[in-house]
Amino acid sequence: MGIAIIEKLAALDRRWIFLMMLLAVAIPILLKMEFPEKPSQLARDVFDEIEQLKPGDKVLMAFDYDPSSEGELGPMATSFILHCANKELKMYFLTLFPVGPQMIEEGISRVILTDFPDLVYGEDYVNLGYKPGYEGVIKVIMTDLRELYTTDARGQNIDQIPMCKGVESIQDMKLIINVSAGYPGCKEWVQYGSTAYPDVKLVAGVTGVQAPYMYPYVPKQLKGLLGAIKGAAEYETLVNEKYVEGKPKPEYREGVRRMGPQLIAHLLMIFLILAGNVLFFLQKRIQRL
Amino acid sequence: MKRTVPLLIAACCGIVLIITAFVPSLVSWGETATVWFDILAAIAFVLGGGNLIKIHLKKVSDRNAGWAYSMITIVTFLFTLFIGMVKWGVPPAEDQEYFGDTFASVSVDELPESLSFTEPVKLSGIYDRDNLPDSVKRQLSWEQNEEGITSLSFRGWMQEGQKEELLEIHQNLQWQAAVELLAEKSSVPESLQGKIAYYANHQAISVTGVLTEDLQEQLLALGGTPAWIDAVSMLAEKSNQQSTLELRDIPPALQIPEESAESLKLQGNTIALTGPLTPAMSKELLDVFPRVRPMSTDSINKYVAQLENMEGGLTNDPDGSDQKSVLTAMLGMSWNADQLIVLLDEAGKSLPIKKTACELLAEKQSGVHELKTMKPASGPDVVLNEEQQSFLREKVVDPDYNLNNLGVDLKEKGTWIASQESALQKFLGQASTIGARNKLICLSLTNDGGGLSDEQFAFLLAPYRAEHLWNQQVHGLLVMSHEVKYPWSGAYLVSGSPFWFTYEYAFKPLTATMFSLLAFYVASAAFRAFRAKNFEAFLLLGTAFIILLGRTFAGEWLSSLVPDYLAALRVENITSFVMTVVNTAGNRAIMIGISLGIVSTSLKILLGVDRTYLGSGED
Repeated sequence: MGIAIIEKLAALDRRWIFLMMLLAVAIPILLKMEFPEKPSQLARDVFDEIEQLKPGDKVLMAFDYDPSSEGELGPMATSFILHCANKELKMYFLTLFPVGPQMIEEGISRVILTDFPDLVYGEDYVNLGYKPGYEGVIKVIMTDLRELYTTDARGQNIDQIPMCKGVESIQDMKLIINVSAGYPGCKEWVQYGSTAYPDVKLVAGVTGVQAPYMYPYVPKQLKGLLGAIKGAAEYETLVNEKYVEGKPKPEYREGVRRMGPQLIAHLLMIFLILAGNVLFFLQKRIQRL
Repeated sequence: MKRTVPLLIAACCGIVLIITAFVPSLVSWGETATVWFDILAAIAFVLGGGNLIKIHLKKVSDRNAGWAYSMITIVTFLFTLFIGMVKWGVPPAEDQEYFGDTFASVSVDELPESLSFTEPVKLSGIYDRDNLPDSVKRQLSWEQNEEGITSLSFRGWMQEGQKEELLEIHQNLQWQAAVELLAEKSSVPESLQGKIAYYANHQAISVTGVLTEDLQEQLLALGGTPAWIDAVSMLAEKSNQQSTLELRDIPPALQIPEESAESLKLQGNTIALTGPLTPAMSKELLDVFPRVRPMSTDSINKYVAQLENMEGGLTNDPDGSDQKSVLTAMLGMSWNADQLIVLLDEAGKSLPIKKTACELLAEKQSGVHELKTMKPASGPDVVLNEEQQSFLREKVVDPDYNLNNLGVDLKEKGTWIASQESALQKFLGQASTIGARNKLICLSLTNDGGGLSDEQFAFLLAPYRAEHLWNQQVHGLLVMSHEVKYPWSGAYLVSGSPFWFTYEYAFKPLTATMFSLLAFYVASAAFRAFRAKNFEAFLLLGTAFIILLGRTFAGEWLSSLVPDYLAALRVENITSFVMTVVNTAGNRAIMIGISLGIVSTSLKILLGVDRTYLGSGED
């Protein structure tokens, strides 16, 4: 009887596992389970790097992600815009992903148009849009922005945009904030941006898959790194504590909100690994007997 | 040749990029090579799309397994390409459409002689025509001899933006003074200012609003060339076209502005418009709803009580949903009298005036060495006196007082200047409307689980509904009366377009779903495949447990059980150690290995030894 149960469990239809994962993600969302976040040193480094900028400083926001990675990167992109808007920094948005312009427009609508209606397009923020060419774009704009960007994403001549006057290249930026989902992304900004031009500072938010590959660049080429939704939640906590009075809007709590399902899903993964190994060893023992 | 050319391109570009990486003075070569690479990358997108169609069409025609999916791919690809490229359903961009203006083509050469302006100057030095801004190249010319420029000529009317660009290209006073004199000479006559303009880059003359008979005569008096007469006639015809619109729910406060009375007529429920609706007329038509003003504590309490007494009431839980506090706070968040007083005092300040280049040049020529760019203010600062301030404080919170009369009443009580009046109108015009405020109130009160009854929604949103309906109708009139100039100028991302719809409701959910599937497959793999079969696998799984716990609250909670003197054993600290030390070391080793491989492979490609990227050559 026991052997039959073990055999049955070992050959469990994967659809039961899918169902477990579905419930592990859905239940925390439906029950609005949220947990406090303790920011790590890396998140603090990102926060401090932006915090030490002065009002009017130029910041490049390179949002290199698409809807597939919005789950991990959307909250940190929102928090970056919120932080920069509160610091009254001049935000220059661009992207190397074809679907990136939509991500930028969503971030602008979610944060700037809603909570910072006094910010003027062209004077406080500008969307330079998408350019094909992967790392080639980075290589060119690090020395000459107008070589590739002659208009913004809306077709307006860049020379007629007040905040673009006098900006010759990305070296004029005080900081590059990169939100990266893959290629082209953080690695390319490190290779062709902060490594080739050490005076240019770079902070990044990346997916969980990419984060381990970026650690070697911290802290020299990358001043700070946010890894996956955990990093987003930590950074979000720091920004909300400093700049948001009372309870933040749901849009500014997405990172923390998504940590609830992450916790339960991780516990489920641990359970599945343990269960799988226990069943494996039990089967081996049965075979030996 | 078919294989040699790509080989040469790859080799040349690669070698140039390597050289420029080590020779800083040759950076521009690298930029050029990279720009060409970007152009090729863009072309590759097109080729990739073509190849996609070719492969899937073949699959469909051969009826291979899965041909239905290929058919779906082809159809969706072509549909997205079509609606994206032709911008189907995308309205033109408002900031490029010149709403309210009517255009008629007339090139710079066809302008009458009376629109040629010449200013004699003496500009010594070298001036290059290639340095002129693009906006003036067609219109500006000069006569030059050995000593320098002797006269500047301009065809057509100079715009303010053109003048600014010309002033900026040379920083010497002689040039700037000459530009100012030329700009003054070539400015639009006073009787035509604000109505007529010439755009050289459009090669067109424009009229804002209606071209009246008087304006038409003035324009025809400027010249009798056939092209000019045709342009003026076309302007007259196009700008006098009639539009009518049936209106619903006309706001009670609607009054046709006096200055628009000739072109805009309201007859019952029908509005008749002659010519295009200008942005100024549109703004006047839209500014018919009451705006937010400061509320006294009594008024706020009455408003809150009114909403509380309706079905549903208001929650009042400080630890949960506290609608009453939120509503009270939002009603009190309006602008206040003190802010307005500060603004009006600021507007009344007599500021130093920037000297023109002509004035500075005259001073320099008279022997002044230290030139000051600003001259003192012309008069004393004007601030609100005590009577004006107390009157303002009293009236802004009086709901029966019409704030449009504030300027007139303040003028009776003390000094009041034009800049203060304009600052007051701008301030009042920027205040939010009651409808917009109520909409925000609704959103805030229904946040965090709070709810409102139908009665409360109706009460709060009624003003917003009326405003929204009226805004839509005015916008409809604006679009109906406008002749589209650039039908493809709109952004393909504009909300409501078929492309946006496809992105928002097909592409976004599908890509998010594809990525989300990973979670399920990883869970399945965790159960079936993550086996501690040997010591290395055991180490890997152990590390996985630590990282999985460390990246969640569970790790932090478990760590709280660990005493401080064993802080290094806390899950988050071990996680940090693993990521920053162990992972970094491993990744650095891998990166170095990859880099060496890249160097070796790149050399083989650049030298033509490795030709796998050229394909098999069978096609």
